[in-house]
Amino acid sequence: MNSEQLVTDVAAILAGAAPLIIATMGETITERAGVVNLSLDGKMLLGAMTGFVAGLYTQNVLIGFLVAALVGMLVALVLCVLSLSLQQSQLAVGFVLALLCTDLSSFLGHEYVRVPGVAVPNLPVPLLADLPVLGPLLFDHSPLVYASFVLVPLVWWWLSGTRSGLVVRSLGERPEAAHSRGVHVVRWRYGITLIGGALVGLAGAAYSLDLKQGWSHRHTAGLGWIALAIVIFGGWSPWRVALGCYVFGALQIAAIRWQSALGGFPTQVLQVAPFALMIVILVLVNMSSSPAVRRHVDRLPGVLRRPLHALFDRLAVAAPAALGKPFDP
Amino acid sequence: MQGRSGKLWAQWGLVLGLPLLALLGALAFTTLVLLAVGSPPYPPYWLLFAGVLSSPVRLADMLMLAAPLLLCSSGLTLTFAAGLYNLGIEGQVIIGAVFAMVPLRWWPELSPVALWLLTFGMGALGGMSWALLTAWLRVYGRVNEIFAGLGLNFVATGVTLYLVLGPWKREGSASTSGTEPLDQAIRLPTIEGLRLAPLAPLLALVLLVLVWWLLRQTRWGLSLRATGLNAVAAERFAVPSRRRMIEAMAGCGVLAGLAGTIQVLAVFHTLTPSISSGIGLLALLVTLLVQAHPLLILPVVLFFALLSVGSTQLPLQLQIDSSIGGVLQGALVLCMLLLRGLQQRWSQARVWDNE
Amino acid sequence: MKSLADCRIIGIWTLLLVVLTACSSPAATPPAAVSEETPAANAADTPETTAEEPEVAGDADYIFGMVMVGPYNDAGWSQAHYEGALYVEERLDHVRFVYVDKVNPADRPNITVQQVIDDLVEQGAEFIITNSDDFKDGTREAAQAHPDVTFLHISGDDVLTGKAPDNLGNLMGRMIYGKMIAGCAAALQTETGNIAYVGPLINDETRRLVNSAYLGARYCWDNLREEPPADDLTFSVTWIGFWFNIPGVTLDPTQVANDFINADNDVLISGIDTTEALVEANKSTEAGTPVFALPYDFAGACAQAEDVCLGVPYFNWGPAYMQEITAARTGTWEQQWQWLEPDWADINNLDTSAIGFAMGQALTPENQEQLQTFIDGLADGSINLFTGPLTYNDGSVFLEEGETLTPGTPEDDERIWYMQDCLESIQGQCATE
Repeated sequence: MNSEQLVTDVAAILAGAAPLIIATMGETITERAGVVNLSLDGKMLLGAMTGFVAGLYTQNVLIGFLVAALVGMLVALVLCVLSLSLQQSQLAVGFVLALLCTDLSSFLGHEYVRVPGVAVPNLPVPLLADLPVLGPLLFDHSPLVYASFVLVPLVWWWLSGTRSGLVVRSLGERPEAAHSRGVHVVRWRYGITLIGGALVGLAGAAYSLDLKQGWSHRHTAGLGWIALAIVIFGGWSPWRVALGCYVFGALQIAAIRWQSALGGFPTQVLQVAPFALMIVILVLVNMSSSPAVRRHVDRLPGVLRRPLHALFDRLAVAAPAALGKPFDP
Repeated sequence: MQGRSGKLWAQWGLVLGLPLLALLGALAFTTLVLLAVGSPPYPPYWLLFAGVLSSPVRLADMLMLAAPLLLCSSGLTLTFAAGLYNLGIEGQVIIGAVFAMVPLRWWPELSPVALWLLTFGMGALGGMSWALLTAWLRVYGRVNEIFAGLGLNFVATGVTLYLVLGPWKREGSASTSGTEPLDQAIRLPTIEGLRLAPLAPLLALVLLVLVWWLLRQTRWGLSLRATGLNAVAAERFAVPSRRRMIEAMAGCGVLAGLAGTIQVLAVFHTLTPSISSGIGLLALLVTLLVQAHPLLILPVVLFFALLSVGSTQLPLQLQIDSSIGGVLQGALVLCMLLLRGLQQRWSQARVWDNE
Repeated sequence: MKSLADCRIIGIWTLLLVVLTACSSPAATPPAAVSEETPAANAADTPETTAEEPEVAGDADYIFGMVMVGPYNDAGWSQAHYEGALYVEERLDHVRFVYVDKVNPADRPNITVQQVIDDLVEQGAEFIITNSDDFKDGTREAAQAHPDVTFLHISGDDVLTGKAPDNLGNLMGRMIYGKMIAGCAAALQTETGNIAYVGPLINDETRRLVNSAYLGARYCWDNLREEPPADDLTFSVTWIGFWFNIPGVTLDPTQVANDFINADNDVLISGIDTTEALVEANKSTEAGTPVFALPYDFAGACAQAEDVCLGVPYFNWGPAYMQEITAARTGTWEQQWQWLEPDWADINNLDTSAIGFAMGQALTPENQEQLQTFIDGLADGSINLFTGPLTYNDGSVFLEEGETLTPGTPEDDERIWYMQDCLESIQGQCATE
């Protein structure tokens, strides 16, 4: 493979992962605030459908995105009311919403299947796009891809470097403590979940208005569950989650590219590799924190011990402690 | 005395009244959705609710859908009782189906009865092993069963993809549409003229009763429910809660695996990557609706199967997309959750008032 | 306490059952109530029908049914069939059709084709068309279960293989020509010399079609391009694994198309039921890299992106359906395996030709002219692309030097129908061993 092809491929991976990044960032902040929103898959479909239809009627992609974000927020609001205010299980509500919104998008979007619509234009950044390597890699994309580039460091900075980000993390780790410091836990969680919902809705529209232009039944079905899994795979850290999205995108391209190279091996299987990997990593994480394994490792010679320790430390992630738990002040 | 019977009535009212109210709410919602696309609501409802009852063939199809759904719902009752959200049930159904295919492909010449027994055994084993993997991750890996289950669902699909497009593909083709269909002789026998293999719903019914008995009539069930209410507290009362969780998962896996076996042996007669057909997810909805009470499962499963089979009539007779059936199912559970939340808040408020 | 609680639940249970039966007991009466809306309509022909078709023609007396694998509005394979059915309904009096679309595991989990066919029969269908290779086994089983209904399985070979019961026929259009024309158009317009084919799943039909597209491209590249823009033609294929995208199961055709474009292919030929290749070509063109595409199946498929559409090889099922249905209705239907020729006088004659090719706006006028000479050559027999030597990808021989196959003769038809691998120099994996 020549270097030019490599640049094109990496650029394709970066662009292809953009909607997933937007969705996973939405779910990451939601979960960091201690709320599990399982409804991603349905919410994304509903966002994709409504965004596409709104764009079609107004001939304006911006309105399409706006509508998709609002729809995402609306679905998130249902989750908030039922689980944060009325104390029903977040898992149950999110799960029901996922299935409900999927069917709803199919039913309401029936008229708009494979109708030509509006789409986001490509927008190379002047001058920068002509740079060798970096130009095609980073600066010759649609605005959504730039948004995905900005979103990851933004979320990271917000969560780790700002006061409000600190509050969000405390909501996920020790809501009682936050409460006693005068933070209105439920209200904050409402806010974050709504923002997360809007991002997921946008991600849906990013498919129907850009990456997989148009609408069809179950247009993005499955991608929401994948996004959800990637958030876990990424250990709720924006950088790792983004990495997960790119790994997933790369494997999808590998599945296409290797079809003839691998002879009879069905490369469709490669699509599930990230999930097998996710489970292996989760197991490794578990092992690394188990005292028995630690003891074994400690007995190894230093050459082996140090990299293993480093690996374990790096792997060690834990879900936000209060994730999915109801909060009753 | 008065107070006690009043309380009983109130409870009755809740158990019956809430679902009926929820149904009304869900109907209101779907009516709005139907009106939104310009469809008069009455004819679709008629087909959804009564479409199935119009012919023995459809009634039979409904029972064949209800059978695996019942098995999965029974299984989920066990895990819910243990306080586990077994989202991985889809994968357990799929791996059950994969395991069930093994004897069917390798020893089709066995006498049918022996072959079926073997097939069901293998299916149960497959589902159980997949569930145990999740349980192991949960109990020893401290990996939430939802996350592990979600990942394992995808992996299970990967396994079928590999088999269907790889070693088990049909001669001369490579398609995700499935393996060579099973020989008529080794399919589960059906009633003449119907697709109903009576063994399937019968098995599901027997196992439902077994689950009810285990949960409600045995010490084991009591300790399982204690685990679900509060695992830490249960441990203090000498309930081996970790063990109970693993047992509940294993039991659910067995039932899911049997559901997968039925999908292969009596419904599709082939292995496809979509062999579970979302049965596990639908069963999760059922279980959320009945709050894991084993005796309420049967009517709800029948109702859900009725809607699912009835909804296929919609495009045929009314040119309406059949996904409205799913909208109704989802809205029903959502309304139920809403009402439960309101009712809990209301009774809480009353307690405070009384204090 | 425990058993008391259970008794209560049992009580509720019984009550629920009573409620349920109460709800369902009107089942016996409402048919009459519902059919009041159109009283005369179905009393005559389908007495068991319970609910009513909203717009029943006053005196419909022959009903045919159709089972479609995709949505009827997919701008592809299924829509072509749907239009074919409309064609029949418009032209024959007292005939109407009923259909179920999206019969596939992603859209309708838990539904088998036999179930759908039962429903159609119950609606009074006396003639049933099933439109996917996927329905082969299901259609055969349903045909055995309904010996009084005539079945037509599209694209199948049960009649050839002798597996078909007497009431099941097979029908297919000779899309090999359509694909040759598509391949030719691609070769005429490519600037990079790289053509790519987005393939569905691998079977006899799809191998045959990808080979045809390649043969057309090869011929036109060698004979009609005066100054080839590149040293040689490359022709690649990637298979997604099904007729259309099922997320998480198949490869994503959007990504497959996109990957082809990134690998410097500037014409995409679609072999799948839906239009992703066209959409991606349009996206790439708008972003500054011109790419063309040829969708498939449905005459109107170009509409989704006219500016990059070189044309579409399409099926025109109407006339064949009309013939078959008329035959079945008059009792003269005979079991056949039919592989229908285009009407070479005018392949786009919607009343006579089984397949056609609609040229797209993006095909330059000169190339349109060239393509027409190619089509004329196919029509008068002066161009026969099944001419040896042709070798398969694995090196085995398909046609010896000097050997030709004549489509239309049974033995040669069978050899074309059952090509076992991709032809040499198609890049991709086509054999399934």
